This record gives sequence, C-alpha cells and structure tokens, in this order.
Amino acid sequence: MLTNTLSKDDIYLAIAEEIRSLPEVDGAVVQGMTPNSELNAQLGLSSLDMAELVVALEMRFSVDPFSSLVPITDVRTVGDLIGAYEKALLGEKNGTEIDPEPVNEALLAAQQRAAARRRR
Amino acid sequence: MTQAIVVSGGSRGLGAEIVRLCLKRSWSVATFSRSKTPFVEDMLSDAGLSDRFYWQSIDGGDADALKAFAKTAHQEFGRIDGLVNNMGIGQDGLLAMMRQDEVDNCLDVNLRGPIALTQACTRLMLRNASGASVVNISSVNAVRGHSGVAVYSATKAALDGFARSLARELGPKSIRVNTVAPGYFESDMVADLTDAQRDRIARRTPLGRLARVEEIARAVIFLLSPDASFITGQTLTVDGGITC
Repeated sequence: MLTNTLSKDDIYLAIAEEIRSLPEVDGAVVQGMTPNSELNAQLGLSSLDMAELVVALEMRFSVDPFSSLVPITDVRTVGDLIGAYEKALLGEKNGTEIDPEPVNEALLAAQQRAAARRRR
Repeated sequence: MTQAIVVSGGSRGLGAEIVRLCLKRSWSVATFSRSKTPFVEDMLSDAGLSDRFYWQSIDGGDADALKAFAKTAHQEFGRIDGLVNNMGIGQDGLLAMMRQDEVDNCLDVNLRGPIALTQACTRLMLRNASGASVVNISSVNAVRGHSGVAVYSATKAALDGFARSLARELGPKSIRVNTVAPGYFESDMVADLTDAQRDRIARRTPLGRLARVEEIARAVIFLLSPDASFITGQTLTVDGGITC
C-alpha cells in the first residue's frame, strides 16, 4: 500500500509548476493564477495542453485520476484539477491509503538500466 | 539526430526489417512480440546494441500490457520519438464461416491493440519538444475489396481513419501520423499462395512483381524521419501500382 506524505499544498504547487512549464501558455497570464482560475477561458489551456499537463502530472505522481476516477469534463478550474489529484492521491478524506498500480517489473528493470547508463 | 522508436511486432517479417533499418540509422528500438525469434536473439546477443535494442514478450491483444510496454520503452530510452503500429494478424476465410473468437482476435490484435499502444505512446510524445511520428501499417485491402479478408480489411481501413483524425488532433504538438498501405510483398502472409496466384498478382501489378520487404520498410523509415517533416494524415500506398 502507498502511504501518502503529500499535502494539499504540495499538489497545488506541483500543478502550478507544471502549468507554468507548458510551452504554449502565456507566462504573464499564469503569473496571477489562483485556484479559481479557469484553465481554458482564463489561462488559455487548450484540450491538448490539458492532455500534456495530465501526462506531466502522471509522471510526477504516478497516477492519472482521469483514467477512471474523475471525468475530465468535470474539470474547469485549477481548483477542480487540484481536487481530482487530491481524490486520487489522498483519497476522499486526507490520509486514507490508495491502492497503487501493480508493480511493473519490466519498468523497474528499465529504470535500473537507465540509471546505470547515466552513471557510465 | 538519434531517435527512440517503438515498433510493435518487430520479431520477423516487415517488423523485423523496420527494426533492422532503424538500428542501421543508429536509432534506438523497443519492440515486442509473443515469442523470441532468431532475429530477436541476434539483436539481443549483439553487444553493440545493448543500449539501443529492447525486446519484451507481449501478447498484442493485451491492451494493459501494451500500455505498460510504452512506459517501459520511455523509461528505457528517456523519450519516444516514433511509433510503428506494425503488428497484425491475417484472418482468412468467408465471414459467414468465421468463428466469433477469430473475429474478436483479429479486432484485438489489428485494431484495439494499436489504438491502446498509440494512446500510451502519444501521451508520452506530448512531452517532446521536437515532435514525433506515428506510422500505422495498413494494407491495400483497406482501399480495395478482396473476398475472404473482410474482417482483416475492416481493421486496416479503421486504422486509416484512426490515423487521419489523430493527425488533426496531434498536429498542433508537431506529432505526425501517417499510414503505409503495403501491397503484396515477400512475407509469411503470402507464403501460402500458389505459383499461379503469385503470377496473377505480378501480372496485375504495373511493376510486374511482388515487393521485397525492404521496399515497404524504407517507406516506413521515410515517414518516421525528418525527411517527412511536413507530411501528416496521409496514406502512402506501396504496392507497385496494383491499386492505381
């Protein structure tokens, strides 16, 4: 079981950082981002930008709440996005434990080989 | 520039030739098949390829395994620049006489599998700054009717439509999606043809012969490469003119 050490603030900071790093996003607009900011209407994220953001967050958190837990159509604001990741990472109530993805042994082996190559 | 390419079904035939040409260009390749073949054994035992060739045993109809494979390939090489949806099975027989499990298997390996693998790979490609390329291997059966291959033709025509719409979806991220539709070429799929059938195909083909497998693979390499940087949403028919 995965015991979470992430807080709600960690999730918000991570999401904000990934939004800022999207290549097509206007840095000046994102500067004033709040949880109430609308991802499309105010921050200018296209559906493809959203897909890229979800992939970036999956790489960071190893979870994709939109694969089954939350419909992506429910997400309109930064706060909605935070809520989706809270649900996936922290459970309905903070502190509950979430079943992790099954161990992918091939992926672990690939990680070890990649690390060995970096050391060479 | 070196590229990391995922090739489905790269253990023999056209898939193996695509893998061979990618490696020849110093690209890295991650591929899978149900079982190891002499070609895979050769690649795995070549010490010079240990950092550039990755193979795993996977059933092409297992969508979850395909998605996991994409993540492993990405981890192995740090990126995915290209995907070749090569895997496929031929399912011959009159539709009226085909068992449901044969229909399902053909749909799983030729269509559901490629869609699952493409979804997993293109999600990761969205993070590439320099774009990427997807090439689906279709068939002339997708554009011309032939008796006895209705389900196979349906899966290949579906891949064509899949590629065209996906090209529009992913174009803004510089990810190109194209299809190669081979005609008859020397492979296991035509091994059962009689001499008379081969002669008839050759007579109907303006270039007067079946293709060599490398002639199909070179078209795939072209579409993967930066030489095709402004080509997307297209079907390149490589058939010696049999459908013209």
